[in-house]
Amino acid sequence: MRRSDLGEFEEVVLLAVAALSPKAYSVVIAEELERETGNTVSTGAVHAALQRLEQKGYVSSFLGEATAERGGRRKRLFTVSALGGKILQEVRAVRNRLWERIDSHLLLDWQ
Amino acid sequence: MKAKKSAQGPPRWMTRFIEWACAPHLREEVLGDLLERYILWVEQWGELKARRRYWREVLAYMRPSISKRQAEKYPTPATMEMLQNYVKIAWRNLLANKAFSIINILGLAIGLASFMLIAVFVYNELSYDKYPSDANHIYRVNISVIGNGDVAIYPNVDAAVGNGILNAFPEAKESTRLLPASDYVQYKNNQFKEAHLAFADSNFLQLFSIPLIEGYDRDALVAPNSIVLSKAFAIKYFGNEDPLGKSIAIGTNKTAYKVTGLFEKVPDNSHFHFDAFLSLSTHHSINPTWSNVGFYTYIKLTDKADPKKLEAKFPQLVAKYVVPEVQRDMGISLAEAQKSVDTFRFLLQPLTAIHLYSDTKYELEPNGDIQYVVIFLILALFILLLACVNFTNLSTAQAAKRSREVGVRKVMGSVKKQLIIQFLTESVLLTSFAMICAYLLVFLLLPFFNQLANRQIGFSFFLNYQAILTVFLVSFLSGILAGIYPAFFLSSFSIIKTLKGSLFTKSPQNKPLHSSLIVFQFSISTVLLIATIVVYKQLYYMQNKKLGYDKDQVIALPDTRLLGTNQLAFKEQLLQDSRVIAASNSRYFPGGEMMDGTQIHPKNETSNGVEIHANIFHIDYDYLRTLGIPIIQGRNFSKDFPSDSISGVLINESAVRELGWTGLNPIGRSVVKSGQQEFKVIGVTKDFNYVSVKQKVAPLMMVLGRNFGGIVLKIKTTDVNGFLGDLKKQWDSFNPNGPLEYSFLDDKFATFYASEQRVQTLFSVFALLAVVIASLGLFALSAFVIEQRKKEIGIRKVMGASVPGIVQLLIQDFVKLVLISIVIATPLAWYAMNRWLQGFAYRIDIEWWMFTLAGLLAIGIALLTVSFQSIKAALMNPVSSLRSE
Repeated sequence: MRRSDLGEFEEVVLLAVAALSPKAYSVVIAEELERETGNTVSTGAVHAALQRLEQKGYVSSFLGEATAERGGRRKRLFTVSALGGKILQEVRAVRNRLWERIDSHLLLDWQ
Repeated sequence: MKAKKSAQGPPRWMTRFIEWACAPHLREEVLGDLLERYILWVEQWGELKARRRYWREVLAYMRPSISKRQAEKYPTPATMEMLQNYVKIAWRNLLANKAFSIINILGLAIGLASFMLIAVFVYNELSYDKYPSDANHIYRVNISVIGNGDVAIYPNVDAAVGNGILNAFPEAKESTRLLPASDYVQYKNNQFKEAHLAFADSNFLQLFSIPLIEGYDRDALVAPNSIVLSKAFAIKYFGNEDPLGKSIAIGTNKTAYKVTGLFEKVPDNSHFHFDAFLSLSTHHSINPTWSNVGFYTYIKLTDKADPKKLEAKFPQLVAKYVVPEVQRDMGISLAEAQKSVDTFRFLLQPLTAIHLYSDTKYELEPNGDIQYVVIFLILALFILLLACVNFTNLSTAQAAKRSREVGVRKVMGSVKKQLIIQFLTESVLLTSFAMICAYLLVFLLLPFFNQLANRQIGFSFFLNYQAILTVFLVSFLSGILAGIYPAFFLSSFSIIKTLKGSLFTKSPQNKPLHSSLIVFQFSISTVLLIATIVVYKQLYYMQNKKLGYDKDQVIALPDTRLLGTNQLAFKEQLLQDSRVIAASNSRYFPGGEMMDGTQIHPKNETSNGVEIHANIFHIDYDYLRTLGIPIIQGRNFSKDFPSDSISGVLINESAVRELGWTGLNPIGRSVVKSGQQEFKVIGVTKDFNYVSVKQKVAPLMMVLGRNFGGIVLKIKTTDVNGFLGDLKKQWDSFNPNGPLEYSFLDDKFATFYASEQRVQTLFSVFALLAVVIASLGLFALSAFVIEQRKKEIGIRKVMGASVPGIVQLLIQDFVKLVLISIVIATPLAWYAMNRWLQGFAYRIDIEWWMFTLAGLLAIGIALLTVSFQSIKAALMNPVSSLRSE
């Protein structure tokens, strides 16, 4: 498995999809990320990231129902695929392992 | 509530933009996302900020993954494969309808060929005088002289003008002069009269970028009595000898000129073509003047100079140099002379505009005319259009045959776009064939065309890549043009109707379209026919107009000066010949090159101070009799009045009119010539056309004396060649300095109309082509229509219709169309030809019979084309057409 496939932004978006499931689509993801990070996140960027994730097979999508605030247009809803879940876990495991190896004194210094 | 808040909505054009940029399959979600988020922002921050963010949001979507279009779900076959199929089908169709294909290809080939020929003619006309490396900065100095309400433009100025401008204005970088000459040239035993010689300043060749192939450019024309020859000219005199450094004798006194250089030749597309240039320093004058004409002067300006601004400064020069000269020469007061500041204007004419835009009387060579260039270009396009129309007409006429194919193709999944491409492929293929044929036609017709248009264009011109590319492009475009309507028409058929065969039960063809296209074709043909008739009549009129003198069997000998003192004796000897009716010593004759002119005004007249320009002929006592010029008032010169030779003058009717003597008796009145020389009018001659009939007869005065140098002979014989032989013998018996030169006055006059003659021939050719193309189309269309009505004809015959009745039935539709065309063409042609005729001083009236004749011709041609088919159809046995079904 090529780990480098997952960019940082993609990783965050993938996590957001997982967190907001089953109602994850680009607008709520962008809003959510804005809220969490405090940075401006454009729908276009999220949309592009989702496209890439779908191409890589980490998420799957389907068209949801039409709503009035979208001018009667449908939204594309995303769910994390099994492969995506596995990747997320793997990323997390790598991080955890590294975290655990950090000297506790150092951790204290950061706080 | 929400709807109210976002009443304004996101910027609409941004939305539209992203709608366009976004791939169709992503449009819904992207637009939805954008709108939803926008509404969120409006709630959060209000309209203003939301709109601002919307911008950035839209821009964030500008990425390839969004705009990239999704591949078609059902992939079409590779374009090449499809194209191959189209070509194959097109080819089969061409073969299936051989007659139509041939008519189409032939028509298009004729159209393309004439387009190519005209295009090359136009290209050639437009390329004139562009060969000097600084052509865009070179100007010719013209003068316009305003006198008596007339503006006379001379393309040449006095000797001092060029240098004067150069010294006075820093904008002028260089100036050079040219003085055309015509004289005898001799080397050893070769002696000829050369008409294309010119004296030129030493920098002339460099300025015009005419390189020497031998000799040194800068020195060649510096020394007096130097001459530079064209290669052909050198071979004519020197054969294989090396001419460089040798001497050649010029003129009747055989002045020696040293050959200092050779040039290949003056480029064809130049407004002058001289065979040899002589150094102008030979004629060095210490005090060159300003107020005459004669030297063709060219000025090269600096890159940044504005010719208009420079022109505006020229009156300074006139005031400084011309005025004193006028005052001195005319013996008038300074105030009087000051007038010339207004009347005497130096103008700058761009070198590259001379050929197409300059039409003064004194051009170095007859120039082209931008009007004709435009007319021919339009003609070429029309002829091409006519050929395209044929294709359009014939292919829509065949629609019924193709409709099934269209239906089947659509059933098999073909979409409209593909069908359009298919039909366009067909027409482009056809035009490609036509293009090949056109090349063939051009190859065959080029010599004929060159002769017609007086050009030397090689076939190789059409073979360079630009020409091929252009022709290809034009063919391609006309293919598209011809095929575009049928393509849309044919591909628009509905599947069910085509397959049921019910599409064309009612109207077998697209009638209004066919009718209007036929009307279009025949209108153009009729206009051309009318134009041909009018041009022919005008030309005939000019050539046969009563010129006011007798030009038949009049021989002009322009160079009897070669006889020196024996001229009178020669004339007397000629008069012994019974075939010579009259002879006169004069170098001035109608249609000749010699022309003297001056300003004259009536003497002691209080009424008006008119000053007119009059041409002068120097003649002797026998002149009027020799040329048969009638005197309408007063008397001819007579030896009984010795004062005639000093102060007698004959004037023509125009002069009487312009001097303001209409209704008065001019006899006995005096006119004053520029140098205050007085002449008493002793007689008035009838106006005779001593220059081309294109111009009005200008005032002329004829005076005695200074007439030697030429002889005009009136002869009466049936054996002209025999007489000429004797003439030569007598000439040689006087041991003249050179060979006999002669010309017949009527021949001379014919050359005046060479350009009109060319226009006439070209017009007739084009009219013919247009008619041929139009009738080809009509022929095919009528054949088709009649084929469609075969059954109807059969039934009519069975029911008792007569053959003439059926023929009439079939023909009348077409004849109606041609009649409409004539109605349309008549005013157009009348307008156009009227404008053309305005250019002639003596012109014919456009009469109704010209339109009738053209109309009858058009109808006749249409009848001829249609009736053959119609009669064939009407004579057919009804059994054969009704048997099947």
